[in-house]
Amino acid sequence: MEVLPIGLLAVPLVFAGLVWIARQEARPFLFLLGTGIALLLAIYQAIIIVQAREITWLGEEILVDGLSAFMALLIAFLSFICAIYSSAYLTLPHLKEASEERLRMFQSLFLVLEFTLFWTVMTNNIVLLWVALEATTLASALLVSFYWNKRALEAGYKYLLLLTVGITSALFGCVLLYAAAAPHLGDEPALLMTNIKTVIDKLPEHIALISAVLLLIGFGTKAGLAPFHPWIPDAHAEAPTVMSAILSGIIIKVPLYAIMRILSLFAPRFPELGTLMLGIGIFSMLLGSLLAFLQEDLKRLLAYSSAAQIGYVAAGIGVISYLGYYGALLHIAHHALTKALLFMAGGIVAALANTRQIPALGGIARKMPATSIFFLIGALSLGGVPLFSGFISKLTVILALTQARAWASVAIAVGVSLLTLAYILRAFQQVFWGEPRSSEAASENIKEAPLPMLLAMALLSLGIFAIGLGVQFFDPILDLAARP
Amino acid sequence: MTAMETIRVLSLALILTSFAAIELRNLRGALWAYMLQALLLVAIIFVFATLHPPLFIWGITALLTKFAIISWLLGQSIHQGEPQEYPPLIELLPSVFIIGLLALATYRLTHTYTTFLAPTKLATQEPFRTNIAVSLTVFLIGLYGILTRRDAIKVVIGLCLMENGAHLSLVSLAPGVRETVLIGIVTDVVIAVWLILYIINEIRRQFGSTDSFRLSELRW
Repeated sequence: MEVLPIGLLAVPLVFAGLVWIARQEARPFLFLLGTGIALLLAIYQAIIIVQAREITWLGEEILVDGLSAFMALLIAFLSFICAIYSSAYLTLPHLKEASEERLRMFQSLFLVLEFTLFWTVMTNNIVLLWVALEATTLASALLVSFYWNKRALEAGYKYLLLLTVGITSALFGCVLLYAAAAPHLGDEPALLMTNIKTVIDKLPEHIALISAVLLLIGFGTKAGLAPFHPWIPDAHAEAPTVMSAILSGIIIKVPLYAIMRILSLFAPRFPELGTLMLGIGIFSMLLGSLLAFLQEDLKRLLAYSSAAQIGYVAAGIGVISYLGYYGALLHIAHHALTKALLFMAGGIVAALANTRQIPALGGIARKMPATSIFFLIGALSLGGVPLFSGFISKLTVILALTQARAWASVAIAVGVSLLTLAYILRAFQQVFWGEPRSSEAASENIKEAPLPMLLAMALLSLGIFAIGLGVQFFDPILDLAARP
Repeated sequence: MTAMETIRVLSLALILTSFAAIELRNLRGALWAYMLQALLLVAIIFVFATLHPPLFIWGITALLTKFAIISWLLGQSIHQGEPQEYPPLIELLPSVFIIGLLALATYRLTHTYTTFLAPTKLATQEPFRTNIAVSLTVFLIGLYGILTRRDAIKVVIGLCLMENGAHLSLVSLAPGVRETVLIGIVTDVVIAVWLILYIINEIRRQFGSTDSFRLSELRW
């Protein structure tokens, strides 16, 4: 069965190369084909994992368990959706100025990014986990500053610098952990997380704690948890919409996966690390939603809301229980689909109207009825309305918090959820209803989104309802993934 | 001179070059200081290699990436713009004071609380103890540079210092780690520096300078 992880790593890389050398007309097709094959592999892998529990390759160097298979499935699904969306987005009028060279780079780098994401969730080597996670930053940096104008360059510079500096502290953490484990395991085996887990109780206490905190800071910066969130709005707002969707949907989730791995190593010995994570999560929730509530820029509002929503994931992980992990994973999946949908629907409106200012928009629903319905689905799901995915995932996280008797956190989580519903519905109402409030919003250019975009948004909506109404369908893989 | 004394002398020189790389206002001068530091780092790794032969490969990797590639990338970028740095937030004199304090603090930390910090028996002994102190100091000087310099090129030099510090700590803490892992780490570092400089070069073209204070369109 090793062929599945090998395929998942090889397919995006091979297609990145093919896209790079292919002729212009063939590229969108290759882009779709590559992400499509990866999706089929990821689905098959998830099915196999439910029975086989574990696939290893290169002597446990690559290890796919329930958690890895779940994350790989999510990455593959969202990448495929983004490929569909981008087939229309990359030919929008405002992108016509982007040269062929840059479009080719976009598609190629996107596939390289998909490879680094798969690599991150499937490696079992603690140092290579760091390498792969840093590689996701590097592969996405030029995609973030794709527009290559002043604002995009500034966002790209800050993105690269902050994430690289932040994650260097995780490198120190990795090295310390490895050095402490090596005397017990030997040089080679001490690199593998599954082996480190067996000797975690024997490591010197201070070293273990210091390395865990360094790892959490490094990965937390990458995840955009408060107070390391400032890169999130800049990068999300200035990147092309496809990139914003993948940033919020996947790139900030993969470090949370890493945090989950690290905590599952350390938490049995240091339960206080869970409390720390819970605290950071609650802080992110409060700060993110407050900043989102005050925002008038549509994409920045969605970005700040992402910082708040990963707070729920962090809080779920911080509870350190089966239910907590389960809720965190469910929320990861929910938020990946929902926020991607919101960015895609909001992004096309902003692109056609040529403004992102919410007060300047208005009356869009008449010209773009389908897009407005998709945005509404996303908004209701983000706000945690029953029948949508956000309800079931937030409920699970809140139940986990209740189980841990963290009553203050429960109250904050419920309150933040109401605040979220308020600001996202207000944004919906201001953008889509009423009369156009500026010449941009009344522009002739605004018409219904092209078919591939609508298809992408429809698939995401389907996913949202699938989780909201039939979460038991995903239970086999979630159940495995919640026991890392 | 024994290996231990050599390492001590080289370590001290490493701190001085880090200081020079951060404090020299002329970017070309700062680049020379950085290059000297990269060579010293390579020299230290080679001295360690006399104790632990597999480290020779590390020395060669460091020579290739830290000295050759990164210096070349920095040089290319510096040649495109003004050689003089934008004045930093903190002047020379307080800087000397702060960096001196940092060095003292890490030295005391690793020498007084050795058993508290060192993950292995070996790391509590010389020359590893001094080596960890130096790597932490270089790391912190780099971070200090990133936080207080206005000029984007200087910020990148600070980042390179941080990476050098982390690299040096690998020599003491994880000499047994295999080459593929090491190559993974340095590849990431080289690509990160290349990408940042690539973006900075375009920033210089569009904004007319590498002053990071002008990057202020994106505020909350």
